[in-house]
Amino acid sequence: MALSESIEYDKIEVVGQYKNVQVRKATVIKKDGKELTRSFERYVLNPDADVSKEPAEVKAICDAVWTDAVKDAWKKKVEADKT
Amino acid sequence: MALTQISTAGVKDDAVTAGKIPANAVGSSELADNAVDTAAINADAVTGAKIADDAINSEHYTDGSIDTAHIADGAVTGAKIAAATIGHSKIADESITLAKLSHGTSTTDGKFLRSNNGADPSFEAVTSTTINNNADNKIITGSGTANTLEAESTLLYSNPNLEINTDTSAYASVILNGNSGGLIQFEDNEVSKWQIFGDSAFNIYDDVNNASRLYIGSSGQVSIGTTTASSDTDTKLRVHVPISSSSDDVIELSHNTNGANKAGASFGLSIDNGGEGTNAATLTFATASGGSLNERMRIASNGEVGINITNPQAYASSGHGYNGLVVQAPSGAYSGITIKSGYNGGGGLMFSDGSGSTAELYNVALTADHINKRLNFYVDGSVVCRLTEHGFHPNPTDSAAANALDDYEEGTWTPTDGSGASISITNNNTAAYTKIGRLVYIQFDVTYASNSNSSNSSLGGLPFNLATAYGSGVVGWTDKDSANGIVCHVDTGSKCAFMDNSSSGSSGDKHLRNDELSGTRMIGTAMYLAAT
Repeated sequence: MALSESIEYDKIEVVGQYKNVQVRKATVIKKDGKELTRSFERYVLNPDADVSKEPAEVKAICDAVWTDAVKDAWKKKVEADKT
Repeated sequence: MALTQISTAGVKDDAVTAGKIPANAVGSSELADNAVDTAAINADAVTGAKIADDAINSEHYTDGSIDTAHIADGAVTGAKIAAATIGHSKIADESITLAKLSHGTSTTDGKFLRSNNGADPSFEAVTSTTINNNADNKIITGSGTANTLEAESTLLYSNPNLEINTDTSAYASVILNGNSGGLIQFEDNEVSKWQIFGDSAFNIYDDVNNASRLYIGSSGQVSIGTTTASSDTDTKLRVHVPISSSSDDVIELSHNTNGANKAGASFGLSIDNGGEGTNAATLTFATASGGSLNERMRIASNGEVGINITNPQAYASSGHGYNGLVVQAPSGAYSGITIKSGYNGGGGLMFSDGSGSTAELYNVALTADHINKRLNFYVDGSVVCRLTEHGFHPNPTDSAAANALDDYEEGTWTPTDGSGASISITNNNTAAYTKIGRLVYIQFDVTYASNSNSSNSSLGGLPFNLATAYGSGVVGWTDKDSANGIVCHVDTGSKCAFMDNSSSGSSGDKHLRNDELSGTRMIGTAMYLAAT
């Protein structure tokens, strides 16, 4: 009998006009290769987020969808919300 | 001088001429013995009357002088024919009658005359002798009315084959007519191996093992491996397997693979127990894979059906208690049941109550509507809810996407400082979320680190991005009386801002600053709509 735990970023979703990236991090526990549990932890990355420490697959999507235009739009929205 | 006065001496030699002898004057007494020579006899002068009876013997006939006309009819007797002098050329065609042939003896009665190639013909019984001048290998048949042969039969024997070959009848036939039936026996060097016999029944018999292999009874019931007929006369085939406590294949279906005859599938029996009284047996079905037959399905003696499982009855009696059908995928695959519709309409899985009423037919059911892409849940004959491409519809009459529950998820999230001041946030208990459709419900239990930062407080790290609409919540408990009445406001950037809803707040817009929450533990919840 062997238990194993692994991390899967099983959902990386781009939502909204500002291309916010929703990340679902799944912790999977398996016994002898068969999945016993799958628990989720989520967070959202906004276009101004530092993604340098994100998993490569998450970073790749962020880099793909966060164009300069998207970043500028998000920045303007944040500043506007402060006023 | 008178004639009577002239003596013989007074006549000169050669003085008497024929003219001096009167007609008819010379008698036989005037002729000396041997005086008339052949020249003195005229041709044709000697008639039959001048030849004495029996006076002519064979030396007076010239060789070859007696022709057929001089032999009287019936004059030549058998005694006048030399032995062995009449050749077959002297016998006219068809002139010898059967009466002139030897009648044989009692020992040769019924036998036929046989040519012996140089030796005398002999009477012999016709056994395997081939009768000449008939078509090759055909056997002569009797006429049935006399001791004569009729003609060639259509029965041909050409070693080792015996053939009935008819061109004038639709079918050739062999009739075996005994007092009790007929029998054909097959032997191997005089040892009987198989028999086919029939009387009121038909039987193919294994004479080596003394067992019937195929039996057809008078009612047309076919039995293989037994002479006992099927239990019902309307059942026309019974195949017997001589087992009493084990399992075995009964009927095997084979095919050609790469030219080889290989088993492809089989039906079999598995005896549940040896008790004749219980008579419990399971029907098994097998198919071949990898060169061998493997059981795929069985119908247990109690009616339970199992696919890829050999103990379907156990799942009811010792398991969940529901009898009927147990399906397991072949080894190494997921199990499943596919209900394929005959057209694109739909399919269903029905649960009837066994009452026998009309309602039984649609009591509880699960139906698929392939056209509208729906899975309907029926209870008591009505659809109570359904699934569509949009999600779950608690109200089955409403299939709009907006009213469908298309997502449900539970998980955790990590609250962080969303103000940008890098305030340390302690998560006392793991923050959790539940998302139902677009509605996100979050829980948190955090403690702000001691700080003097004047930025508006907020928690970041929310699990889902906020839709255009705002969200809100409350802090239900704090560890400081001064912090009572804090509410949450989920807004831009998916952050949860803390506000004092009971006052205008120190910042003038009800926002609580980081330093106002310094060292404060807050347990709260909030809800908002996630962006799509």
